[in-house]
Amino acid sequence: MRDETGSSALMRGSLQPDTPATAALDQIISLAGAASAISGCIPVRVSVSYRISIMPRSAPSGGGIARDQGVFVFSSSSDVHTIIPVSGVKRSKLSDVGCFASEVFEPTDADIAAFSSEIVSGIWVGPFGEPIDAFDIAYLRQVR
Amino acid sequence: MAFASKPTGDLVFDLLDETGDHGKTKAHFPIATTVANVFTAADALVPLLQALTGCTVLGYSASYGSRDTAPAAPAAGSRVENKGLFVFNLANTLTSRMEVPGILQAVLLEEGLIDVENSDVAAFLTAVISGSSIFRGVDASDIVSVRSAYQHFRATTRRQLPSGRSAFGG
Repeated sequence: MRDETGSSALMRGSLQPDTPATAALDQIISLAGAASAISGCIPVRVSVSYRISIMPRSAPSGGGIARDQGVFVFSSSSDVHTIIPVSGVKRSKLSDVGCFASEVFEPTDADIAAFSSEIVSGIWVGPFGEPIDAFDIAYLRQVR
Repeated sequence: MAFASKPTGDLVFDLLDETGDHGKTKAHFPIATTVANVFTAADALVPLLQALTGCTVLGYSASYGSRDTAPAAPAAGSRVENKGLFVFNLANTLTSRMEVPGILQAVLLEEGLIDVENSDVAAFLTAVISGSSIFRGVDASDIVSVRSAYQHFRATTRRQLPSGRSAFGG
């Protein structure tokens, strides 16, 4: 919700488990309307999140650190590319041949190929909804 | 209000490396995808991510969003720090809280309580508590009634301070 000065604040609640997303958003928007009648602020954005915690968990097997990001670039039929950064990609998967050795991940690595193939063949799309057609390249980027 | 769904939903994975640092991986799915289908596709990515990274995937969350494409102007004098705090009774005897930023003076009583007899407040409470409502406590327990409702101020953050506050040369 946003006030006259442009400052924003959240209104949070919990939902009945397994509520379908469309029904959830409909009721949340309705609640936002009811809230705007008793508030001087205006609702600008609503969202519903569904969380999964994976149990039981195994310890990290090691080999990658979270600061090393693998930036996977995918192309679509339009000129827009989709980028999916993956934290902690192992440096052992970097290519050791070619102009960008040690910067670009080896596309023929089994794990790199399996992940990129799953993204291309799965439900995943670009941020604006454009279908993902093919895997282009993956390179290393360090983040803070 | 004229809310329109975003074209895509977001799926975010939470990863943990062997040093204890956390990382994120984010992907997008068509907004019409059901939660069950998103979770099925996410489950397929989990072992692939763990093999790529050596990290443990702690979990993931799927978010569906909608935004108002024609928002009205906020009321003059509205401030998000001025909150209406609603405390609800749950079926399991615990309580749940919900804050409404920028609570209107018109729905407050002199002592700072929220007037639950006010028609707009009653409509808000009905939306949260009624039998057809999907809202629950954080542990999924049913919300059964309102326990208390009052005005509550939160500290102003540095970013929320007025921009012209040094105009007097101090």
